[in-house]
Amino acid sequence: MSTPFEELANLDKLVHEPARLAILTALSVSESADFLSLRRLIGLSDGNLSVQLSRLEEAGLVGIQKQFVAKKPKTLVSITEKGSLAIRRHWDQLNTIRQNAAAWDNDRPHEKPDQPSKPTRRKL
Amino acid sequence: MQNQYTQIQFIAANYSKLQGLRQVPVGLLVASVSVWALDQQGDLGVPIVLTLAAALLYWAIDRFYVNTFGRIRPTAKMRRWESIASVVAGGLALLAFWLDTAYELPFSTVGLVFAAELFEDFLRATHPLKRRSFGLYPENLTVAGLILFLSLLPLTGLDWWKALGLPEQILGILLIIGILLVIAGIWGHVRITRALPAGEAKHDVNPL
Repeated sequence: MSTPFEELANLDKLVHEPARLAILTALSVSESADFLSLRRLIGLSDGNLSVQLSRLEEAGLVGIQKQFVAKKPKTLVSITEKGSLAIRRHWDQLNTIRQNAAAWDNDRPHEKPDQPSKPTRRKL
Repeated sequence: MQNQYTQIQFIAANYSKLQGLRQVPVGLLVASVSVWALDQQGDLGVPIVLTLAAALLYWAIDRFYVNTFGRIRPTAKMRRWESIASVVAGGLALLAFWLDTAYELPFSTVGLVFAAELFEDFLRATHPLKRRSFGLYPENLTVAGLILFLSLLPLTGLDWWKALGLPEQILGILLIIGILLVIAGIWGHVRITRALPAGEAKHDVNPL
């Protein structure tokens, strides 16, 4: 079995970046979101959000549709099938890592270096 | 899942529902119609004017939210459930209204149905999440709890609506529902405004 650190190293870095993970998480429970709502929800600047969306679009994880509504440009973003699978798999991986990390941590002996080790009493 | 991501997921899934001011016109309409109904000889044109005014106010609030917060379209499945829930809720509300006006019951059926609908709404809103908590949607559960309490209070023999100077239980519960919807709406608006500040947020939180 791999350690939590090895599992962490295997995570998809494109999805794991916090801002992109937030964008995909939001889009995974909606049909589409406009640029303004994503900016409010994720809390990124216009430029940063554009960059992150472009990276996700290049990877085929989101689709971006630009249209004009009342002569104003409107950008609609939706998650693709590939993006849905990627985000679901990613959260599953994170949950597994967290569980494994907790189990791994419990298996290790906990020593306090500044104190002499005391004999432990077995629970009956 | 980290709390921040759970919150993002919850808000994205219920974006329009959490924009609390949307329910203010509904609350004002319910409360004002119940006040109008106090006068048995009331002008029948008044509820129509009130409904039109509420619709106009709702439209203005919708424009405000779209221009300030943008729009997130729920999934087709969620929209379908929302439609089904609305139709069922409307039917049950009418049935409850008939029961409360036709019979002298020691509880408010309208109140019970309304509280149940709010609770169902909470369950539906938090359905995409692995963990439900009161803190995600407190205005909804608080109003549901208060209405449930007031609906069952007459079982103890306490006619609380008479203390408000109202002759009928149905008018009392409708007035309270209307007022609570307005308060919950403003509370929800304050919460969503704080949760989604206009400025740039820092994203250095590790999802683990």
